Amino acid sequence: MGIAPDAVVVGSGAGGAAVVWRLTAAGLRVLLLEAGPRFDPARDYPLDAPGWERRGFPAPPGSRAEILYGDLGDCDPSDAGLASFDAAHAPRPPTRRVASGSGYAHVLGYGGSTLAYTGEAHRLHPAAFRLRSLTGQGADWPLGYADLEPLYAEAEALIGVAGPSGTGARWRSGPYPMPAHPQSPAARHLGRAAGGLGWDWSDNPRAALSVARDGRPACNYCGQCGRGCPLGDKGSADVTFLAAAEATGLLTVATGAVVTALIVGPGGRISSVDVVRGGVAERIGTPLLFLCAGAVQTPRLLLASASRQAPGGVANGSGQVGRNFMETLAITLSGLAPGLRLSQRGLPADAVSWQFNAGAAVPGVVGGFRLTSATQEAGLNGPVAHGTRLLTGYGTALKAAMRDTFGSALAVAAVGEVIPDERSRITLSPHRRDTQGVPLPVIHSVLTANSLTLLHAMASAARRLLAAAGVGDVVEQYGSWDTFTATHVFGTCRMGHDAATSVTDAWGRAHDHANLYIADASLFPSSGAGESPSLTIAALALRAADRALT
Amino acid sequence: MTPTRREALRLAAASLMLGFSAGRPVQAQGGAGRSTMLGAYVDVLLPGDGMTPSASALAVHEGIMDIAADVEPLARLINLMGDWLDGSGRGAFAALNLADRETLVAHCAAADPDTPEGRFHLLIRLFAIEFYYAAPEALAGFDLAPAPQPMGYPPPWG
Repeated sequence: MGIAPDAVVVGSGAGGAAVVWRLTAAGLRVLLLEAGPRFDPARDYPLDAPGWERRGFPAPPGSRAEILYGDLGDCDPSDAGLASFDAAHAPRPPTRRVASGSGYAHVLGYGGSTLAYTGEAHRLHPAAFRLRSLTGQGADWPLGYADLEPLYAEAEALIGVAGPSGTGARWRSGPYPMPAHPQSPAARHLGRAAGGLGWDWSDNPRAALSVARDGRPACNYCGQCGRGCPLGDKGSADVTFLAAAEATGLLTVATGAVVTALIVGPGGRISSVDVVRGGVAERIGTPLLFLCAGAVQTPRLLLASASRQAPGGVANGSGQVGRNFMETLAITLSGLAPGLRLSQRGLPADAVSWQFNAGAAVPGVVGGFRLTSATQEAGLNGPVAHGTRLLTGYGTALKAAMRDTFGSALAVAAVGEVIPDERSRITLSPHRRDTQGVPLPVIHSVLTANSLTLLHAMASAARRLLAAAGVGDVVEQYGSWDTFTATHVFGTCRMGHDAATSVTDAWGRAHDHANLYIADASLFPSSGAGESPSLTIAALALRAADRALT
Repeated sequence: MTPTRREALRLAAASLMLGFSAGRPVQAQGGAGRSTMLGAYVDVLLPGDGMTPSASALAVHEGIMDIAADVEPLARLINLMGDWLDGSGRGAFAALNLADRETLVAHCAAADPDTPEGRFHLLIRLFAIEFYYAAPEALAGFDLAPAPQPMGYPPPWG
């Protein structure tokens, strides 16, 4: 690629971007290898054209990886109340869980999946780091909230997180960089309902500028974060960490660069990586390697790099690479709230309830969950979604109902804890390979009894909140019980103190390879109880980079 | 349409076709005839009124035919139901009076989704709403701009 880098970083999402920023700021020459393309917001996120609701986040060639699905578990009829449905589709409980159309929802591109994320900027609850100590299940982290707090603050400052003035259990060394966004009519309506139930309800910390800064405008509340932000107010990695790293002049970016293998050299150090770009294969030497490809592609690459020096796969002396996979346990319920107006307006996921997030929040269950105002994030802020998903009938009655009820849609999303299970893991396909000849990853992910009990509790809480908000009937429900849809995946290169039971140490450095660091959600020993992971990924990445620089 | 959206529509249509008999006889018909039938059908689903045009006036049926060109099972279903609707005994569906067209659409709407009539209605209704309300002309009476950008929807929000 034309340079002799001080470090090579694979992947440019929340973790890789934070790493390159830290390393280049310290004066290192960094080569960033990104498998996907660079997106052009003005061209690729055309939210100023009619028909916008029919366009999702773009998917140009090379921007999605081919993923296979293995064991996703069975669907017990006794849990059929969790089946997905909407106004047009009655519930049809299946016998086997299947991957949804989006399945493992991800983006290969300069900025990774942050390009399409909503931008919730959560810190993990301090108790999440001590899950095993507190519950006897799952795993503890080899670090605590206090270790990450200054790095959380640093990442929030660069991203420009807008958050509430109160701290709650997630204590802070300083205020959020920006004031919270005004709550939408839907969030305020749900907030009044939550108050009536005696539940917590607060501004959700969001990676979207509430005040213009550094050439980035303030959010204008178009409500379409998941379709890509054409303004740059959303704190995706390309306009934050990566832009700052590029400004140093020390970052070389190679997009469309697919890493096919990690090569182990003398002393167990990673000597180089094999890369294919534009059909040309190249071996690039590096003294320092950061692998930041996410909890599916990172273990895939490590396992696929098995060699005589690493017969079970790179960094896999423990046998834990690919294991402990944790998906996104989620369910979203929606309905119509008579009298509510303008629920389509406002910032997606602008309010959150941590009522069931920590402690013994749900009787008989390990872990908890959070609730968010989800009307916009669920896509119910457009007329197409409103008509196809929430209304029945046709003719003049349908058109009248559209005019009468649009703006009264109300949705609540619940996201919860997943405890690792032996059956849930990433493996390599013995039969299928990508165009570079690397075996495809296979996702196996089953819902345990704990997950199912928690999912019932999540649905029940969402239903109670909607009912308190005046929603008579739940018109749409979709969740993890019958379909695998995961925007957040974790755990497949678990960090820990013990090299026999974990892949990296407490800084993300591989136990088996002194110059290999992992900086993505693979590291998470526990998923958290519904917190979105991008801010924690960035904080862990900064911590790993700091360690490598010492 | 982005590849993603086209693929999503194709998958949605294909998945909704699951369970259909592949051996059901299909009469080859000209595209224009099917488009005319479909235009009449979507106009029952989304008729014009004093504020907004009918579905066919916004070429909704042509959009569906475009999707069907890429999704063979959907094209097969449209052919099958075109034969059924046109063969109802009173002439081509598009030539029927409104009451007769509404009667046939009501039959389809009430049918089990696993029957051709029910599946046809389910799919065409979803596609029709999608194409129709994606058009700015259909949004009269809604508190919406033609597109979310460049202005966004800044507060206050009432």
